Amino acid sequence: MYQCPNCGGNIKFDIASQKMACANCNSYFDPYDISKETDAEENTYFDVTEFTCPQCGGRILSTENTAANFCSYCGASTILSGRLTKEKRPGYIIPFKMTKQDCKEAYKKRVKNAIFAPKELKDPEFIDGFRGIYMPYWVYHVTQKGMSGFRFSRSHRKGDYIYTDNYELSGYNNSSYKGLSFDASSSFDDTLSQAIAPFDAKNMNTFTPSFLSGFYADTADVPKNTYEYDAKSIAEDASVDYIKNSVIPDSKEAHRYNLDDSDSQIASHLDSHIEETDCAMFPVWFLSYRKKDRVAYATINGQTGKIAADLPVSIGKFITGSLLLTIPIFLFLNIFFTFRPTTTLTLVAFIALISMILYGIELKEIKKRDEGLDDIGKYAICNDNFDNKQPVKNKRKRSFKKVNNSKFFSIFTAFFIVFITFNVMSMTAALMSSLLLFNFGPIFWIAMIIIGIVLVRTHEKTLKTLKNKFVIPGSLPSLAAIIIAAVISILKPVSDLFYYGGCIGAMIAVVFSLISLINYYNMLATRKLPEFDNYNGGDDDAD
Amino acid sequence: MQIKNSSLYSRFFKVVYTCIFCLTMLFSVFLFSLNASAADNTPNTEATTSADTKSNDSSVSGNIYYTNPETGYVVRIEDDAALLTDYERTQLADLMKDITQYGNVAFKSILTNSYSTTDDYAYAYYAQIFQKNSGTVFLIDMAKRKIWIHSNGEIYKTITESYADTITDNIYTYASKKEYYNCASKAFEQELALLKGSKIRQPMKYTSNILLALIIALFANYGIVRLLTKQKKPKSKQLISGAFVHQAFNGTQFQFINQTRVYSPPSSSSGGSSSGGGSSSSGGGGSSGGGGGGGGGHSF
Repeated sequence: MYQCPNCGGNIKFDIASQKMACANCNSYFDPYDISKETDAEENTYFDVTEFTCPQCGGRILSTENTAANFCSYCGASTILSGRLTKEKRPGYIIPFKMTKQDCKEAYKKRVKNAIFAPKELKDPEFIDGFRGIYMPYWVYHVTQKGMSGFRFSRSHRKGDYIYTDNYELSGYNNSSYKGLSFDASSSFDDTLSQAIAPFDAKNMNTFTPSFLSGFYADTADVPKNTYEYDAKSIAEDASVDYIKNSVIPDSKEAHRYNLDDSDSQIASHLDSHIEETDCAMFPVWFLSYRKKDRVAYATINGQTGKIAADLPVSIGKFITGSLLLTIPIFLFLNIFFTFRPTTTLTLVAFIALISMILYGIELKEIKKRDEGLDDIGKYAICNDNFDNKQPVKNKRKRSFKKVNNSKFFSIFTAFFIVFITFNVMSMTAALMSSLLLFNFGPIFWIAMIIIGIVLVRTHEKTLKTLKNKFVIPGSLPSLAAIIIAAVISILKPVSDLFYYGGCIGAMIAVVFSLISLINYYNMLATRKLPEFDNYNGGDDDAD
Repeated sequence: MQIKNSSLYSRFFKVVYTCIFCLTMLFSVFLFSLNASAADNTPNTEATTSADTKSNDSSVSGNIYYTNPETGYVVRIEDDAALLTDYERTQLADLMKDITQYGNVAFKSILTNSYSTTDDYAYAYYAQIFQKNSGTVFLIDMAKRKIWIHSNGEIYKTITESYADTITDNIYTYASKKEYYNCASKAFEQELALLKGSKIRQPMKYTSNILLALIIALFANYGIVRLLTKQKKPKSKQLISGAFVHQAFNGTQFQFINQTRVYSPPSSSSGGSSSGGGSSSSGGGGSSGGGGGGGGGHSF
């Protein structure tokens, strides 16, 4: 806690003035003048109060002594236990530029477009829960120094021969990129931190703890070399652009020839090194919305105002909105189309199949997120054998664990894709001459059922790994819809009532599947409650 | 949906899946082989077409019940399947007379159909009796158990394929109940109503469209949700914008390395691609002769 030199009152960092402000006597002070540390040795660490959430174990730091009664990570409204500690001092800080009011306005504008978002997300009392947190970031300085050469060529014909003249453009590459930043906290999901990037590192200030006054801070627990590969990749992309758009056009000779090297080959000639890695604190406005065992975050870049928010869907609003949208679609269809019951049944079956495919895609994304496979920082601290020292020349993409699918069903799926393709080709001529659209034969329906079974089986396996128990997939009603449509279409009853009955039954089944799809979308739009059991404590940056 | 005794249910579902899988594999192979053998048995429809229609030429004049003195359009009834009594034919002809203000009109019933589909027969029959003139034909095909309306000319501008489908959808139940006179009379009544500018019931259209509209709306909203809530990652250029950048490529030299030579004689371009024999004809059935028009039908 910092005291006003004039009146002894509590002073905090004021965003509008970018100075320390005293609410008592309206005095303003330079943050560097207020800083308590004077001893050079003590500049390596600074004093903070560490608050720990009893529910998720999340740690948050503050220079204030007042109790924290809300955890921004798990959304729990509970008293956080606090203790005094020392934290390693980061090198730089970007002070908050966006005020809380700015951030609330930005968030309101964002959720205004989320027409199906739950009403709690738009509640002013909820929006007032934004908290300013300084997130730790690793800031990389990448240099590229050395001779590089790129190949060019030009060909011409002379008689029966093609002559190709090969050239090389060489030079000394002396490029430097300082300020490539990545979040250093495993509790700050990479998908969110990337969405609110970039921070303008050119406006970083030297760190002093007084900037933290009035805000919270998180600690760096991701190893500092985790994002070295990504930093080098960004630097290489920038250098490749520079070489292609500036160096080559400026060269009198080179721009008249064809560049033979691809972007990846050009990048491989650049010798990228991490010159230096600094730790910095960047400002983020943080808001959490908890529902049962899931939490949704809204984060706003405290410097630029860029927003990233998890926006779940309210099922009631979704269904109401869909019923309203049905009216204009119905009017549109009435003007242009007259569908026979057979065609309607086939279309419903198609839509059921599409919903199953979308369901599978969502399940895979949920699995990827819940296992942290899309968060390099979390993955790095949970896996001791995480390899971040890959040669820059040979690797352009990360590889992660892949979801294992049953080999048995993969082989059969491949077999039937070939089998079905052959049958569809042989039926094409009959379809074209009969002029009967959507009147497919039994082979088509059998193929649909087989594909449906394979998809449901795959979903069941994925759900089993997600939930650690057998769960009936929500795509099973869609398979039932396809089977209903297949049976009716193959039997070809005369009465339309069978088709309408089948359509209604299939449609109800598809609606169940779509509601399940939305429920799993909500899982995708939110995150598992954090469990900070991998936090090692202390300073992970210690040499 | 969470299940207790998960291992038991899991095994049960595995068995069910495997059984359905194997049965459908066997059934599909069986049907494929049936499909392949059926393709060889398709009759030569072109040869029988001319024989079929020629047999009617001798009784053409006997099937014309009425000629409109103003327009010259005719009413034809050819009840080859003997579905109507003499009285019913007369009643039907009276009903069909009103349509002759707009075009020719015919009722046809058949016991055998050597064409592959009912609409092929209707098309060929129309072309034979009315050529390209305005008209409409109502066909009851007892062989394929289908009713069909085919129209052309001015009438086709009103009795489109969509309306033909709707009318046959409204009346097919009469044919199912063997009330062929009612079936035909209702068909012509609805055609006349449309030609006069009135509306007819379209329950099939509205029912199908409301079901489809609901599902499409659910999907469209799902698509909107996914699009609007997508988190966009900044590109490398944006990430660089916040960093200190120094780029220099000094001492550039553009040097000749070597020259390669590849033997590649230019190809002779005389003649281009030869087209080979004459153009292949489309074969029998379907869209031969005449042109235009269309229709719709329903099984019964």
